[in-house]
Amino acid sequence: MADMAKKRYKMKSAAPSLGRRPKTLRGLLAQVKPLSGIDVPFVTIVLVMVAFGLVMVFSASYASAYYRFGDSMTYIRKQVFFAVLGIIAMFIIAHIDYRRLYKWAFGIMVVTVLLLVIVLFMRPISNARRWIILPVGGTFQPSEIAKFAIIVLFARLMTANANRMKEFRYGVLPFLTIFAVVVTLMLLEPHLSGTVLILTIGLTMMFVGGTSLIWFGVAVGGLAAAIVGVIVMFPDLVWYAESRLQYWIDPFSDALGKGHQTIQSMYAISSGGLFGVGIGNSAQKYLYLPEPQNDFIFAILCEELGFVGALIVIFLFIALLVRGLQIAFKAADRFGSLIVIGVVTQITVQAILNIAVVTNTIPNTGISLPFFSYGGTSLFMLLCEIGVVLSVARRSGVDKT
Amino acid sequence: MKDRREKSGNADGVSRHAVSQSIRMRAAFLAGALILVGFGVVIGRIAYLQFVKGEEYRANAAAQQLADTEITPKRGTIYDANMNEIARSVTVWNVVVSPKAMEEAGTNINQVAIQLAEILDITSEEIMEKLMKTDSSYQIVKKKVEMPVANEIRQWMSDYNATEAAETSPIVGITLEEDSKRYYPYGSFASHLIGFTSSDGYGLTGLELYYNDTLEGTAGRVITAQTAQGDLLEEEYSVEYPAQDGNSLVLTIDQNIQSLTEKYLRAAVKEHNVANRGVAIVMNVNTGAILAMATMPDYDLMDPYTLNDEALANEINAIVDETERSEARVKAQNEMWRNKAVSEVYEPGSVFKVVTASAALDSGSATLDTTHTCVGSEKVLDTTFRCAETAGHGTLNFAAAINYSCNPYYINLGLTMGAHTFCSYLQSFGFYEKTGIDAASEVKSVVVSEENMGSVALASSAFGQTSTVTPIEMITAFSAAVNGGKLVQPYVVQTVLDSEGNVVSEHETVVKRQVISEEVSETIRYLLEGTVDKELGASLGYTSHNTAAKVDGYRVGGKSGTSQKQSVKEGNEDDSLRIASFCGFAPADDPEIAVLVVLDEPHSWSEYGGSLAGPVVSSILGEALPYLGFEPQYTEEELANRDVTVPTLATEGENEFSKAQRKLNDLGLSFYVVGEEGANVVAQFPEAGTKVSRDSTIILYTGSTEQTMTAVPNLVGLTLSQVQNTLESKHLNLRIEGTDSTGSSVVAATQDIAEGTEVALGTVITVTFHDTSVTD
Repeated sequence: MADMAKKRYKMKSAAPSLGRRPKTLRGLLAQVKPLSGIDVPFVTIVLVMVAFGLVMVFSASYASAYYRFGDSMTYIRKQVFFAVLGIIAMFIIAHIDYRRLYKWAFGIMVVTVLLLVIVLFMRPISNARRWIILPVGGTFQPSEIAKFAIIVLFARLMTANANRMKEFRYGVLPFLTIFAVVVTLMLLEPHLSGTVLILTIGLTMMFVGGTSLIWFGVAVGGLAAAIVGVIVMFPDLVWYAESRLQYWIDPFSDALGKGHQTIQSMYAISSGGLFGVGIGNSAQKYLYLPEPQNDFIFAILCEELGFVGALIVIFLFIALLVRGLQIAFKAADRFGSLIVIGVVTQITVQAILNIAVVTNTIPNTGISLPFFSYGGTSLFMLLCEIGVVLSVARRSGVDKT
Repeated sequence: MKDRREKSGNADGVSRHAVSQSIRMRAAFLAGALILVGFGVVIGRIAYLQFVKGEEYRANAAAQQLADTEITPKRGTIYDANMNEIARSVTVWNVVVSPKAMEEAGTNINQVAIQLAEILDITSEEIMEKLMKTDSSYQIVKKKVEMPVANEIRQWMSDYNATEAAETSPIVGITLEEDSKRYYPYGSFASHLIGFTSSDGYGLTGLELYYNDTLEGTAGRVITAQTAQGDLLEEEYSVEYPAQDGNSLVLTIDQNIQSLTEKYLRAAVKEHNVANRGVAIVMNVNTGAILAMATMPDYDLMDPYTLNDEALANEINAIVDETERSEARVKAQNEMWRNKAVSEVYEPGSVFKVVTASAALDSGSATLDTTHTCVGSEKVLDTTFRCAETAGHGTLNFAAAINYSCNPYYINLGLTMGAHTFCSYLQSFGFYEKTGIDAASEVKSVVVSEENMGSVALASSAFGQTSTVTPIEMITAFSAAVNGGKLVQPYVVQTVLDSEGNVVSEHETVVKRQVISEEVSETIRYLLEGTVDKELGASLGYTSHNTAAKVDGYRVGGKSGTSQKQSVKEGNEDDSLRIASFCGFAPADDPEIAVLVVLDEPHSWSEYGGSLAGPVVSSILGEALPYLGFEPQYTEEELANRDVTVPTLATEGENEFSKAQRKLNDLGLSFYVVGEEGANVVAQFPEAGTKVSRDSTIILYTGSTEQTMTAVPNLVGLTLSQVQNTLESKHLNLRIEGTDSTGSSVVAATQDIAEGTEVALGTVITVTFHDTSVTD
């Protein structure tokens, strides 16, 4: 580690010369040139998804917003605000050299861990302490930051130990250690879906980053053994798991209770058919599907835009993944490449899991659909991450037009 | 230099590691897996839900999204023959609250509870209890409030919401839901025939039940998209299928005839302490149209669950066991609601002899000359039947036998005819089937069948015992006997109208069959008229038996019946219980209407149908006939006995007294002066305008206007001339009721003002006379 400290990247060198400070905003913009070196295909996909998402949030939320607040615009107003703020942040970050993150990787993780500790002392919302309540009003989830912190730190470690990734000491141990801290803190909240997501992102990065496949085999074996062990030691848990799974396999067994949201989601999707009932015409959003603007927004999308609309959204996510990988493959360096892979993997996995939940393919967990689900801080964070990807793309050899 | 090297990306921690081929391969593999497996699975799943499960789930979703509101059709009106509304539905409102909406809007529920309690006349605690259910958006506070109450609530809400207090806590969540209520403007009018509906508007008894399908109409629907909270979405999402209002009924029942029938029946049931209710039916003998059908005591259609017998109600309330009490109450209610005219059978007694007489003449087994000698009883096999005239009627011909209602004569008629002939006539007259009248719950008469008709049963059936029939069946058969022999189907609904007043259907007279010949029917009419009309009776050689049923100015025929109650007889407990009935018809030469009055278990000065039911028939006919447009044709004797209207007799000036005297002389009235004779008249009694008999005495006061009083003497048991003398000596006037026969056997049965009562001179005392020689 001491060795690494010496090799720290000198940030000053990467930054544009600060000697000629612009006197006006116009001057600043002229100098910064927000679109210069931006990956057009990638940013286009993102902006289309953000716009699409805003339309869907408005459509899905106006009934429940009206019912809860007497104002149909309540949700969409906030969402537009954060989208605008996020897009500005995205362009700014795109112009900041991502390599600064290399130096900050540990710092970001330390701050994240601190936040994950602080959140445990917050007032619980719905029996969980996932949200930090800001004194200025509003809330945010440290797990959102944790995802990014993991991506950055893993990328850095995988870059630093690029040639030693096959070894347990460099290719497995550091990551397991980080997992141990973060996952423990998140399970204390508890935040199972966030934990699953972070583990998925981390493991994906380990896989791509070069961790020996043997260890994955060992992990699978170990997991199986752990499950068997838990079943043997706590037979009651099986019954508990069974009862949880029951509402997944047959949501109609508790149609008004635990199966309610799932059933209403499936009703919405089914009502769509091939072309949907038309944008704005969902009937299920009239309070049948609880909080239709949140995790289940995709169901409303399926109802209003049908199978075709659903495919368009999925293809947008696939396009984002493919373009992200193109950027990563041509990235100037391993660090940037891994960050991009981490970010696009996170978005893709989150999208798949969300749609899987909405269609009752997997049990109901609280995973939002990136760019679509309502949630200001989440969207803002996402756009910041996109900004980092764009920053990598600026230096990537990929064709940006 | 260092900077440049770093920029070129070779020597520092980040840049010296280029993107390796391994990363590309593994990332590409990962992306492929995510796309193919991850997105592949969810796309498949979406397709499954949309295309395979689509229809099923779509239907489920639609079912929960649509609010299906029923629009209640307006129930049809029931009109009498003159289009008076007897039963109609009026719009009322249900007061419904949404505690949930109130909570959300911050409504002051205490205030709502207090105010609604005051307007609706229920306790505020009761309302508060409902308002506390804040999970609910539908709580009914009170059902079926009328328009003024509904308006008061609306007014209060709008007044309150205009005040300043409403800005922080407006009154919301109170809705007035339209509903309908059945309204019977005449209360107890024809209650047993009309019936009533349940609170949700379904006919429970009477015509309301029988014609429920006609009256109720078809419900409409409004299908509206709704939110999961049950709030309705915009109008563009709703489809309305309007309700089809119910049809209306126009009855054959004439309000005037029904009312007068009820009036006289009610009076008779009360006067004669009728224990098991009375029935009166007025029927058009040619068409079967029922002009009136009454059962007494009646009950209030607006309050049908309250027992009309207070003593019985108290008795039931005293039952300790709750189940027993409620069973007893339900039983009593059902008995009270039962339409005795169609739903109960009775022993028709001698009225039934009209059927036997018709059968005997029509079959040719007897003629008007057929005689039989009555010795007071008749033995058939081992059974001895007594005649009402225990001394025996002696030798009677056909006409005398029906007048005197001689049982042995009729036994003989029956036995001569034989069971087969007799039963085939019973069949023809309709006694083995229901009449088919369109009134609810008609029951079948219980008449001995031919197979079971041995000599004894034949003998007793022939004079009207053994069989029990419904009053409607009796009057229908009686009508056939006098209308020229046609059995018509009785009915009560003349016309069915749709909600716009267009005729949907019109009743046409149903003549079931010719039962007896026109000639026999004419003979029966003639004979029956003779039992009522004493001159005709005299010409036929007998003393008319049913003169109590006479109606001045009209030709009336009829037959009385007094029967021993079988049910009681079999129980061998009290054989004194009787049913007194009378069936009359008019005009006797060309009958239009028949009237049957049945008094079940009278407890009075007589038990005979002719004496108790006959006058009721007479009263009904006496009012109904002129109403129906039949002009009275008075005989000389009737004219002499007609009532006159007392003129104004007060005089002023010299020698004016003679004017008053002259006025009275012209009218055939006599006078008695209190004060100085010849002085001016300052007061009179009875007052001007009063109707009195032609031989009445008017009291003229010439001095003081103060009336002179006298005590009413006892008249009961005195003969007519004794009564006349007694009253004359007291300067009181007489009105004769009951029989108009004279003779030593005719005595006063009742007087309307009790002995010893102090009344003004000139007061009219109504005295009912009856012929003690009449035994049926």
